Amino acid sequence: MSALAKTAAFVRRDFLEDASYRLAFLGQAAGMLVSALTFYFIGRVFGGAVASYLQPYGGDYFAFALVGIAFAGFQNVALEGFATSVRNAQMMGTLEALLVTPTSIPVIILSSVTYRLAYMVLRTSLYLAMGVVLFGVNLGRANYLGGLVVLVLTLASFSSAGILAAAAVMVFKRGDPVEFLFGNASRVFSGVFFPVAVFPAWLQRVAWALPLTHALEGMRRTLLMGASLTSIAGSLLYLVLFSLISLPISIVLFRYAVANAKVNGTLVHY
Amino acid sequence: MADLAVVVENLGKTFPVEKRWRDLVLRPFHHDTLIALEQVSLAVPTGELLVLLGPNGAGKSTLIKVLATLLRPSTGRATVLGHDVVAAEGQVRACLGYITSEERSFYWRLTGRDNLRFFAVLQNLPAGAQERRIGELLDLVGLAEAADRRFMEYSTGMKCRLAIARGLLTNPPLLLMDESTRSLDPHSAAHLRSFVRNSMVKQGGRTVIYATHNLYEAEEIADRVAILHLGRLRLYDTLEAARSRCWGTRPYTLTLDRLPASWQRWAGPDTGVFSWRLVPGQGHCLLEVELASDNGAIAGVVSRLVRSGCRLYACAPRERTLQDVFSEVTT
Repeated sequence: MSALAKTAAFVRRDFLEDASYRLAFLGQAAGMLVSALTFYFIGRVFGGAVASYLQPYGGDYFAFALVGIAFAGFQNVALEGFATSVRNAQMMGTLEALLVTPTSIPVIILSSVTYRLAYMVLRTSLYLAMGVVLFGVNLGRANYLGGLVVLVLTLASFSSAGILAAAAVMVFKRGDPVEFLFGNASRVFSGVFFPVAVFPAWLQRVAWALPLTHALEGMRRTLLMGASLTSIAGSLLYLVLFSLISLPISIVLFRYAVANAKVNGTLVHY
Repeated sequence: MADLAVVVENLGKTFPVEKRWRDLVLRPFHHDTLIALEQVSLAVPTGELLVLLGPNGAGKSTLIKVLATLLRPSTGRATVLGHDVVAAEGQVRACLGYITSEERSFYWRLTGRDNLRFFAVLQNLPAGAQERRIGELLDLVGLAEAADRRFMEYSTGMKCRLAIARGLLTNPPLLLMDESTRSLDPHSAAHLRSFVRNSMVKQGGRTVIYATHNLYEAEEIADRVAILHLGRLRLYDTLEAARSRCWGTRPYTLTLDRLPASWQRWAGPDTGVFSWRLVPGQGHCLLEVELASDNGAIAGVVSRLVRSGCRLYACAPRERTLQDVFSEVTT
């Protein structure tokens, strides 16, 4: 049985579970509209004040924030999704049932968030569509292929942090330090809601050390300005290197966390 | 000698005991451990049904989980069909079915059939064979009509039966069953035991390790029993050999009109009476005794009772039950 077939089984499982909560989807769609409206009006009131900082992204605050919110969701899913999957499996008691099957740990851990990531693609598309149709965001110059490349690299780099978070959950159960440090730092310093250019120089260095900053930079430049891949090569290179280094390390650490739980008999503790 | 499906050599398993806050401060480098298994060795021939017996906390589930690769042994080693449970986890998992009575191991909002579909893929069941096999198993465990109901709507017994179906998905050569019939009604439990005994072991040549504390189940299906107590293997033998083994005592049942008052003072290890129990009856009573295995002990008991003036109607050695054996090795 191929890893792909197993991933498809995980996606089907998660879709069936999600579909069984019918009201939740409607609630999320309504939440997206409220969030978009909020930033639309913030942009109307304060957009002019940051116009000079927004020139590299087309000058429209609402479009800037919309892309930021939409794609920061990928970090949330990657960062929290793995840990949440592990935590749910611990609490529901399904972790042992998964680990006793002849399915490798990387397949289990990566497949467990595939549905959420696919759902996030749909959600992001809806966000952008809402922005274009309801609020007049201009995506006419967008380099969609470039955006796709940035998206794939974004997922790879965020996933490594997410798998680290899952390893932490496997060991500590609650109080995941990876999500706390990485997630919070990214939310504040990566320029989701405002350009990092507004920070003082030393804080900008912190911001550019975070993968979400590069992901958002690449995404905004390709979607809002139609930038080519060569013009965002710096951010792409950062994301590639970050993924190449951190992804294998995170998988090794997750394997170690599982082995540790098997030694201590804490696989199903929560 | 028959091929060995499972080999366990000097297996030990300890768990660290989580420190209290006070100990973290006062004894930061001290580590307490809990011994779950100690120096356990056994070899299960292919095509046999081994029943793991033991009181709660004896180490049955720990041993099953080590064999299922869900726990790492602390000392010793174990192999399943020649594969080491630590070094070759993947190969071990590919050849075993693991059935527990843990009903939380399913996705409650999915139907029984969808749960089986999911685990069938994870267990490498070929896509073309999945629906047929799932249908067969749902029929076997009596869930065909409830297959498309959500798992959360199942009764406890139905959940247990779905767990059995999941364990059998790939028709594995080794089946590990941990208290699998705990929540089944007597009829379903008997049906399952019969299926495991006849279809899986006798006809299919599968090897089964079946953990339970139900002695009746063990007597009904076991080729061999392993009795664990406080993490140690106290007995490992065929059922017949376990019953007929010389235990140092021999059980007798005596039928008499009354028990003389002097009996309590007289009976004891010095006179060859290791334990006794009086079962009152209509006009007579039964005296069950565990005597020293030499013939002199029963002669002494009979002589004492007759000299005390009681009427002795019958005296016969009693066949040792698994209950006797279990009591002997766990007390």
